[in-house]
Amino acid sequence: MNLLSLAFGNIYRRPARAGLTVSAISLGIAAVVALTGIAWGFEASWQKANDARGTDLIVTRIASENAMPSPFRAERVQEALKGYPHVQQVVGLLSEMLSVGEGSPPVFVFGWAYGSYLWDHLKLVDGRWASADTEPVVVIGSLAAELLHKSVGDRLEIEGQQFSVAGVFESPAAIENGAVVMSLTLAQQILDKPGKVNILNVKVDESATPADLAQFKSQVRATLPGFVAITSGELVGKNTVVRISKAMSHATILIAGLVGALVVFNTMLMSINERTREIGILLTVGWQRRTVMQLVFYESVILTLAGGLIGILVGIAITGILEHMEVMRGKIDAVFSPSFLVAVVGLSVLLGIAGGLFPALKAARLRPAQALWHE
Amino acid sequence: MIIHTNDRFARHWAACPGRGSAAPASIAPFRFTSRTGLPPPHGFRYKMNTESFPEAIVRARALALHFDDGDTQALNGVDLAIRAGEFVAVVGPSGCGKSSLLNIIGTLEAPTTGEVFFRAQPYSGIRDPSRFRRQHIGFIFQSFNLIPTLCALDNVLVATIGTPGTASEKMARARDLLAKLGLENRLAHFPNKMSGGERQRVAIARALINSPDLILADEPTGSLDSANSAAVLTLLTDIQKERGLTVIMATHDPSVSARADRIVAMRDGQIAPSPEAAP
Ligand SMILES: Nc1ncnc2c1ncn2[C@@H]1O[C@H](COP(=O)(O)OP(=O)(O)O)[C@@H](O)[C@H]1O
Ligand SMILES: [Mg+2]
Repeated sequence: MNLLSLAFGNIYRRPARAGLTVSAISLGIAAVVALTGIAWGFEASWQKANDARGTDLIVTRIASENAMPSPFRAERVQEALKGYPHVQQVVGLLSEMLSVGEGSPPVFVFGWAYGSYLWDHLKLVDGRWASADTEPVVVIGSLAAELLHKSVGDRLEIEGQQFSVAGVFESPAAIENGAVVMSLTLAQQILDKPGKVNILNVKVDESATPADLAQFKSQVRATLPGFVAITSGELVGKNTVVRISKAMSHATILIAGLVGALVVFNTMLMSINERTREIGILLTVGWQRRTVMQLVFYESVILTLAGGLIGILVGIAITGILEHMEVMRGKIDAVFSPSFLVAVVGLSVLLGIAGGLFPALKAARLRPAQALWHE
Repeated sequence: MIIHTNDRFARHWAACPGRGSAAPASIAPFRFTSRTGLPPPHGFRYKMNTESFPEAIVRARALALHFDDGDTQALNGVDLAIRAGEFVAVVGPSGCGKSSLLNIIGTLEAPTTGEVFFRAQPYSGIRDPSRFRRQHIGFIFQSFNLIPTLCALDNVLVATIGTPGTASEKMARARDLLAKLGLENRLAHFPNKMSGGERQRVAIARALINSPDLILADEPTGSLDSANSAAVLTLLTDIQKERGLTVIMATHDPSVSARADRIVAMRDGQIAPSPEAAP
């Protein structure tokens, strides 16, 4: 018999109401967890794709804020960058999300400069690589192979042109696993963007220090007006999709927080009103007002904490289902960092305290003589 | 304020036991002295002499309690002194203010005017009424006021939450008390599975668990049949004698008040001439 067991007992008295309250909170928390996990997943999977390629810096147009920066003529910039200190390779990349064949979900199509380091991180699991820059073949990620129902030797129609699948690869980045990759030259040709790239990937030599990278950035700013050199993380931060999904997740946190607090508020207020007489008894036998408040807070926090924990599980499950939907596969790679989950648990506790505050104050302020005669 | 000189004097007097006899003659007799009409040794006039009434545990001074509507005057100038160890029955018709008086003495309600002293400490100086109740007062009600979702043992233990002591020590104390009240086989029973007499005994155990000095019993037998009433009263008087407790019990049942050491009669929010004092 202590305050905590009393609080559990009080919740257990109204199982249906407690269940509804916990469900409402867990739905809100699940939405928070799913949307935030996806928003961060977008960011992380783009960053992963950029990082996996071994790119140190990305050079692109300043104004570009699309998922992929808009294409630009690469030649002049590329030549200039090659002359910068520590630079080993400057490699063009062109990409577009396209429908490939009837009835298949859209996939990313990447064009990577033939023979560049970009290809190095891919692991061939079947078939072969293209044997020349202009050979009309593509390689596809293992997930893309599954989604498109294609394997080595099959034909693939992209933007009205026929390609043969030369090989299937695996990449550490989910986005690439779900993508079709061809040489930059072919991509420029089928997308009708000769000489253009979305980004230039810069690889520097081993001896380059962070200071050298900073120096590189300012050199770009000074000598290549209209262009910036940024890290892959910074590029992802500019990504509109990432920004929108993050804004949505923030809005969800706000709404779920408000609704959750209101639900607990309502439940606890009802509970307090029903138990007015009982609280009068507790005050009569000498309970401090703050002990009464503590009891109410325990009850409200138990409800929100249970809602939070269930919500986390449900949210992760929802995300898992979303990730496995055809249209979403390979595009998100939801991230649930431990610190995020701890923050969600913290948010649940906060909801309990916020929603329980007024009921707790109300309970603690009851006048025992009046409360005792309450029916 | 309704009370001026007398009140200030009484505070001074109460705060300085032993000086009562030195009270200036100009302010005696007190308003309330004439009103109580109680004979010595229980009358307030007599108690004015602290030498002969040194052990007063509760002293009420000119208590008035008006309810919000302004028309209801539950108490209208009540003066009362209770000796430590006394078993006092407060009697009177329904609505005469018995519960109001007990509630004020129990700090559950604040008087509109007037003052109560507990061992010469004025209630107006009590910072933490909850703590005061926990340390000094046990309540017993007509309607038992048990918590329906707690078993007998937990109904007693609930009063120990926030008090010093280990869980096992509190548990032992609660079991002992319940056993003493003949409820050793009812520890895990919920109130709705117990008879009225058993419920009231649980309530008595709860009232006693924190070793109070004063028991306030508001119609404790009002919901019980005569056999159970008698049993509960016997328990109450036995414990009162054994522990040297002070009991103030409100009742309108003459057979119940007959068990008390002293009867205080009330009428219309005032102390009436007691039946004992009637010629
Ligand atoms: N909370 C309240 N609000 C208004 N009037 C009250 C309240 N409590 C008691 N009264 C009135 O005060 C008077 C005294 O009541 P009470 O002390 O309960 O008497 P008793 O216990 O002797 O029956 C009654 O007239 C009652 O109606
Ligand atoms: Mg009454």
